[in-house]
Amino acid sequence: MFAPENARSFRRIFALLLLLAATALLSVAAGRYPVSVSEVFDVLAEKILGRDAGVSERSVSVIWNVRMPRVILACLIGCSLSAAGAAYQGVFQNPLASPDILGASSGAAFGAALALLAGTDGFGVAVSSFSFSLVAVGTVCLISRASGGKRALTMILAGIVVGALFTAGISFVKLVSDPTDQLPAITYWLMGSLSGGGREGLAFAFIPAFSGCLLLFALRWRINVLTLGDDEARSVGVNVSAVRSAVISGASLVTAASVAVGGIIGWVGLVVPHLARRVVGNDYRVLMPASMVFGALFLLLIDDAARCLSTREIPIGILTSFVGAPFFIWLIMRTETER
Amino acid sequence: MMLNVSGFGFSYGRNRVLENVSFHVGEGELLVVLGPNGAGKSTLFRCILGFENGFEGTIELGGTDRKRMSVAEGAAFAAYVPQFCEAGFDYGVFDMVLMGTTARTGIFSVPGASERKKAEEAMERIGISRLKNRNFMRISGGERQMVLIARALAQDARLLVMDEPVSNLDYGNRTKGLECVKKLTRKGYAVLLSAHDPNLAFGYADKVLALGGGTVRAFGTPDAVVVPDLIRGLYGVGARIVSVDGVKCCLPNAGKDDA
Repeated sequence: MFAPENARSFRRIFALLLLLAATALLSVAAGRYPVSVSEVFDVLAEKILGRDAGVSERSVSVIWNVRMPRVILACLIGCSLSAAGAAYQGVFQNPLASPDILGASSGAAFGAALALLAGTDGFGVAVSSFSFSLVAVGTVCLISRASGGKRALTMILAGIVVGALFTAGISFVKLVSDPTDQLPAITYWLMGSLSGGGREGLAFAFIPAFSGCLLLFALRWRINVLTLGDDEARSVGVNVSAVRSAVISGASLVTAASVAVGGIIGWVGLVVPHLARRVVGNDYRVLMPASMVFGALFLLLIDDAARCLSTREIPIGILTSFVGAPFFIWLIMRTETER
Repeated sequence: MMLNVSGFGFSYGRNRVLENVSFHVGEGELLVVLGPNGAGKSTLFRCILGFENGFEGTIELGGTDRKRMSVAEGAAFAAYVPQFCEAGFDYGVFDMVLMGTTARTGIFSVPGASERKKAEEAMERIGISRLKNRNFMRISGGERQMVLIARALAQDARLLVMDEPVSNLDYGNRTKGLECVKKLTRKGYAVLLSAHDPNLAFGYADKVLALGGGTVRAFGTPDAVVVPDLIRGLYGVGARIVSVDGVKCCLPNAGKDDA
């Protein structure tokens, strides 16, 4: 499965996975309520192996019910958004593509705003946001199918238009919402946060995000070939429209699932794939898994900062922009070194 | 017959590009397609490769109707060597060649050991194994063209469709590239190659297809097809055919306006 000359890249990915696991453990221990790493191990042993380690009820609850789901959710969303970004960059042959290129984020935000206006609970918000995200991407696909010209280009243009429409829709929902409680809730949701999510968020997002990531990982060689352009890809035997549709479906699914439970978390899907490109190169056989692991690590660290930096939680979308934008500038300015 | 085109016609909307085009290419033959810009050379190639399906007449690859072939079947028979590769990202040369084996790789899998061997053999055959660990964007234009040819060989197709493969190469690379292609035809590959320079027909072509005015102007051996009248008809300039040491050569009538 793995070619010999890629062995080095896969060792790197394996090392990154170990780093991710260690970071995840430390992240569970980090936070305002003090928990030690050994307690984390004890709770894991108690819950998984059924061995009673005598950890206090409060610690068990914090570790198992609050922090573990949140850490896993951060990893899942980081992994998903990065995989989606890398996939879109490949199928659109566009290094600037990110998960919201087809309007998935704007659609999700509109759906969430609408649900918050209607006064539904967290689950209702996730469902509405997830559905509208897919509606947005579906609309983009229909528009591009109905128009002539290059499919990849018309999709990007349709994505911009549909995104703008849903953004206008959000503004309208904000306008008619109750300024004392609904408006702040919508505004806060738009900034992105994993604080509300936890177990429910994980339960909601896990299946679509995981299956979408699996699909994108499986299609990694085909994505390589798609970056050659439609004609060349077809000439070497790739059914371009079918494979592109599959990639777009997978990427949209993971984006919708992520945004539905985490709100708008920008920059991850753009910055992380580029970081991975710098480290492992452009070959999607390695780039796709590398983006996934880097993304999980990146968002996990950002989420740790979001909940630990100050007494009041900082919305994660703000932090990813604060960190992602300068980081991207650094990536652009750093002259490419000979590999 | 590797390729048999009969009664071919194509329109972009109301714009009639080609009509009544018939020709054939056999095993081991190199067919040079001549014609002015916009004569429809690329359109014809696109239809043969299956990029466009709305054509009239029939295109047969190895006796099978092109329109009935799946993308993978078409790729197993005809390979495409473009003038440029517009890859969005920089890949290693070896990975680039390896992409030629995609038709034989399952949709959810990656190329395995036999595909890698195919790619290595393809690079060896045209003598570019030394480029294996280089990056595609960082080698010269001539080397890139050779890599694209290697990719076509890794594809294991018997018909190579080359759209102006040497138009952007310097004199040395052009000659090397054409020699390489000529050698492949001796191994049984059929090659379809479009070019701007009628001189290519003399050194390398087994047959020449001249497209102009929306149809076939001439089809046959280089000696019979490339004559001053044809050059004037295709390109609107006077030319003469001279013979140097037994090799024919097409020269422009410089300075002499005999129009």
